[in-house]
Amino acid sequence: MTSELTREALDTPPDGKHWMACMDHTGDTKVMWSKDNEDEVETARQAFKNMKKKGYTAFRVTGKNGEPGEQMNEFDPDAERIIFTKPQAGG
Amino acid sequence: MPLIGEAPALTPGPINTPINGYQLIEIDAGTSAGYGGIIIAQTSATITNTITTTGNMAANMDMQTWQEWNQIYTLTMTGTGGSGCTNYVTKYGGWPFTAATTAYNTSVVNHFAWNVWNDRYDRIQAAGTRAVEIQRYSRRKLSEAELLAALAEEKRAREEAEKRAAEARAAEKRADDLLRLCLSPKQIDDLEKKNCFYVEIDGRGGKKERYRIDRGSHGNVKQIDDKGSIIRSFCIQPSGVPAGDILLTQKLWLEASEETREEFWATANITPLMQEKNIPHTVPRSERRRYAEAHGLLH
Repeated sequence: MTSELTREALDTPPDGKHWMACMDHTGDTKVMWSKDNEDEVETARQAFKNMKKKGYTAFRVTGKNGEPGEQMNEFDPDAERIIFTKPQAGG
Repeated sequence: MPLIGEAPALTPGPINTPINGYQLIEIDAGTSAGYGGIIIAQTSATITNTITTTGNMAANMDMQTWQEWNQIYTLTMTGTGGSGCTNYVTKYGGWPFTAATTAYNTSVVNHFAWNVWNDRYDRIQAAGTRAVEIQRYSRRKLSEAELLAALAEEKRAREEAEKRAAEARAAEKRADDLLRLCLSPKQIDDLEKKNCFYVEIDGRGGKKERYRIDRGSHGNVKQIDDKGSIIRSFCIQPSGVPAGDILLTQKLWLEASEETREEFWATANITPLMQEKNIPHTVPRSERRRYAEAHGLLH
């Protein structure tokens, strides 16, 4: 398993790296993968499943102009950026 | 008689009553009575000089500190001056010169006591509030060991607090960075200048809906009309994440799809605002919401 965990905020994934950011008390924790690296993709897929089990909601985010996110229910290794949001509650 | 560099065996004694903002822990220096003396200061007296081997001793001292030292020291010590230093001993309240032949000989100085004063200075500063509070609220006088333990605890607490504060700042920055990745330049500009940004979506029936997301965490999402007036306020947020993550979560849920938006609405605590203009001024403030509900004047 070679998927990387990083706490860096990345404007663009380095060299074809895709990432998903899981929101937490540290801001977020990122899981990165290259879509042609099966180990990394599998690790990311597993992380995706784990976050969904925890009740997090995944959004695929594209572009740099504030484009709306798209909710994801299945992991897609082609997604460049995925953001997991924590469950919300009414105040 | 302790020589330079020798530290006599110490036996912690009782703590004296605070004097001029200081507390003195008396230390018996083994068989050599009159040596030592650890002072836990609660003020920030600055020790700027230490005794030098030659020269005018008084001139080499921070006089205020020197006087403070002796003011306390003479209350518990009975130092004896060596020959040739009588004047200094008298003038400065009994600084315990030992086996001295002249006042300017380093060997006559009670280095241990002075070094204790200086060595503890950092801890004296760190003691500060914590030691004062512990002493103040304690039913009994604390021993030196207890006070030092309190200082150690204080230090650990401060370090932990600083560490957590740094982590929180880093988390806020990381969340803000992630948020900015998902905002348009205009939204980033609004966030910086107005502490809010706007989101426009296709709402129910294809009608445009505008939301203003303020920097904040509770009740910070507002639905606004074409003129920018607030129609209703939404209180909904994830817990345990920095502010940037909260704003981003709210944006994503509002924009992503009708399904997520419906869930946003269903989960949020929504406060509809009143059509104030249509409520007569004669209706008292406490009755205005009830009046608006009764007359269909809620947005």
